[in-house]
Amino acid sequence: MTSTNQSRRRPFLRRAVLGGLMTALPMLLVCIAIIATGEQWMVRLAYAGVVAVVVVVGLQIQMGNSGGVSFSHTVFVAIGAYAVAILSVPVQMKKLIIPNAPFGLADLSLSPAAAVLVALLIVAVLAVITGLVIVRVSGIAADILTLCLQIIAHSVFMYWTSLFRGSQAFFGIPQFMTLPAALAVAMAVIIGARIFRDSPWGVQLRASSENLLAARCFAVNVTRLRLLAWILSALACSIGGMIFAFYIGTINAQSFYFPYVFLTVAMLILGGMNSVSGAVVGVLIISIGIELIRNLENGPVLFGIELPTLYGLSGLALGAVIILGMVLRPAGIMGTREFDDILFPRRPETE
Amino acid sequence: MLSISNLVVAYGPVLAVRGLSLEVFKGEAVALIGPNGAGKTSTIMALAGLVPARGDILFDSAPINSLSTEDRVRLGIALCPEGRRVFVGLTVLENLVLGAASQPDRSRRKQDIDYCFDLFPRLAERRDQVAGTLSGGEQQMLAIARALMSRPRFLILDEPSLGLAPRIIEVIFEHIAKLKASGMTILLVEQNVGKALAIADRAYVLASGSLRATGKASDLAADPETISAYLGG
Amino acid sequence: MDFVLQQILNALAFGSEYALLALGLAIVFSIMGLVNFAHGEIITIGAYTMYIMIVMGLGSPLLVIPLAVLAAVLGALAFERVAFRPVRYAPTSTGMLTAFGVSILVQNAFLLFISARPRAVSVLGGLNVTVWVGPLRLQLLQILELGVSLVVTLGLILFLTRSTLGLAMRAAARDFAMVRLVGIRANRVIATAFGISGLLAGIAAVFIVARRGSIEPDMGFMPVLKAFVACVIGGFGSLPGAAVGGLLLGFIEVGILVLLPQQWGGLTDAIVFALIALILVTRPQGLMGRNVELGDKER
Repeated sequence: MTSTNQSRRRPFLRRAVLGGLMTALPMLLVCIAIIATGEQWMVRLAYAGVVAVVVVVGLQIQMGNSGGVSFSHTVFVAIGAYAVAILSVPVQMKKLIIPNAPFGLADLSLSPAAAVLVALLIVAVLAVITGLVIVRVSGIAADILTLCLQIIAHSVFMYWTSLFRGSQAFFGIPQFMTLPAALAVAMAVIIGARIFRDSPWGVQLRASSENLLAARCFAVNVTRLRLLAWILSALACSIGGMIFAFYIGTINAQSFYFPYVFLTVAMLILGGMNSVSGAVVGVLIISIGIELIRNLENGPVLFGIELPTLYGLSGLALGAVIILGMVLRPAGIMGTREFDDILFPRRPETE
Repeated sequence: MLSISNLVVAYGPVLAVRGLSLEVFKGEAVALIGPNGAGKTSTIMALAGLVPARGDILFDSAPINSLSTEDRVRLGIALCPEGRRVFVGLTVLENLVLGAASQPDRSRRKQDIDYCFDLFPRLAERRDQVAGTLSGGEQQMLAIARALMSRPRFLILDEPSLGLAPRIIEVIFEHIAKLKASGMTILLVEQNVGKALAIADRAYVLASGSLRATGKASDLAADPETISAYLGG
Repeated sequence: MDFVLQQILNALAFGSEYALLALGLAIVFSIMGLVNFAHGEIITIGAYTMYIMIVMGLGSPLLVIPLAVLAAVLGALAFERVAFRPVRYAPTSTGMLTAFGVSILVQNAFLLFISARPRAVSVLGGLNVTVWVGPLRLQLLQILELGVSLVVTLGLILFLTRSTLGLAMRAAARDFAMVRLVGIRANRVIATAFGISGLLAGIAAVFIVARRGSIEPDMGFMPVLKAFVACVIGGFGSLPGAAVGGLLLGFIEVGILVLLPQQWGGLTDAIVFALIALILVTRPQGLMGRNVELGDKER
């Protein structure tokens, strides 16, 4: 009874959840196949891929709905990872790695669940603060603001050594995550992104990024919607950072800087920034492609001949794939479509 | 001189022009009239090569479908577009210089500029003024003069009266009449039916992307039925 | 007093380097709306050309400098022809990602075929000398940098105001289709824009290599990031804005380096970019950009 009421009031919800499951399907299938092989190194690679799905879907919430490019989403990945790390590392370990941490953090250790909740709160607060600044401007100026944010945040990570250890690795984080658990998290994030995309807010925001003047004429509060997308995106990205930290156990600010920014942005635009399925497709194609070529880099044996090591080959191929992808499909592989749009085309709404 | 047959212009699933055939002979002024959304500007854009189109476009009996916009201009087709589109950041003189960019012979440029200034003395007075600060009528004059700078054999005027005061429209049409008298072949696209039919030799009436009537301009002007049926006036 | 003058020259030298790069970015952006993140790789191509020539034994500066600049111009033209022409009418994000692709490709090509590690290029080390101008001790390199940038900028202004192609480029920034409608070839306008951006980046590359004394695959990234920022401070797509933004960025950087207490040195970038963010939030259209309201008619 309630559910029919619900779906009548929010007709998009059912579609978004079912479509979200379909969006997650390719990732699920690849990961299940890998788990079935039982190869540990492949599971580790798959885990990195699932983290990338969470981050790129998080990025899609921002770029796909508000338009424009973001260079700062990995800041929230880093904040998420560092926040849970600093909060959950055991006290005796902290004496070793951050003995002089401010705010009494050196003597504090939370359970992972509590650490995640506090970390989400911290990310939300920081996202509101940065978001309020970013949504004041639009277009290319907003893109540059995110670039500034990335550089400022990275400098702080590097400079504030008593808390973040600067350029040294932060280790000793509890490692309890598994690939199936990460998959569940990624599916939740995908469905969340789909719900936002298909909700009236998401539709209004996407429309406004196409024509701001028209949206304002329809009294759409674009600023508030952009802020909402920014915060949701930051939360999703930070979740990516958290599941990364709880699996790998060791993090380093350098690994969240520009190369990671460009890699994830490339994944999203190649897949198609206007759809969540595009985010998933982009991650899958680039992750698998890079792994295949990385094997070549290490001097593989082909037909009995040992090839020389070719460092830079995977980057070369990545660049070529991006250029080719953009030339052949300028709107990304998925364009504005989700998987379910292809299988079950949407009927124009008549009511 | 120009012959279009079965022209189709589509924007995605929307057909803007549905199989239009049209001919303009040398020395003639032909009007293309019709209400808003009839497909007039789409036809012009297809002629200029700025939108993809199907059908045959022959200029001097040679197909130009596959030529780029630039090459069509170089063949002697000049378009004076809707909304004038003068180069707002450049001066009047610089606009004219750019108009002559397709002319390989630089020595004739000075002479052509003088010709334009003779034709439009108002522009001569404002030669070093930035085009964005000209009035609407002056911008229209500049747009026509800029089109003439390429020494066209075929001039397309798209809505030259758009957004201008009636008094200025009179002046612009006087200039068009002068151009016609000098032997220029003109295709005139207009919503101002009375003005267009008064100046043209022949006319085509377009509605919803298809041809609805054609004939001598004087005959069409005398046939109130056509006018009221397709042009609402 | 000497110290102040030296720092001003320092700021002007850095600023004019940013201005050269920013002008190149702005000229391409103004005409085809492309945010060319591969601009840095044009610098890298110029720099590696120097290295390759030295390795081949052609180390005379008189030969190395013009050929490095030429290689940068050719590199920019090749980027346009191969990568950017097919996405010319695509959305901004497509062009930007294509540029990322070019950038990644070129960096990794140098990494693969030459080395991931920095290589020394000392042929221009002779420019790093101090000269006395009256009572002032100045760096020859900085004087040259400022002088060359001034000459090049003047040349660019002359080109844009006096030549038909230059006028066409200014016109194309507002209405590209109309430029084609007067019979000017789109390919020629765009190739010229890329050629100019390559020329400016090539000249900047010479100075960058002279100062660093070495080359590496990702050496173009930071300078272009700063040039990009300079463009935005000045008003993206505005050429005077790019020049002014570049100079201003030079002054901000040198000013912060001089004024910041030693122990805060690690925060230089953070403060520079926080200042830039502040400028952007208060003047999103940039210092020289026009304040356009939505729905405004072009003037």
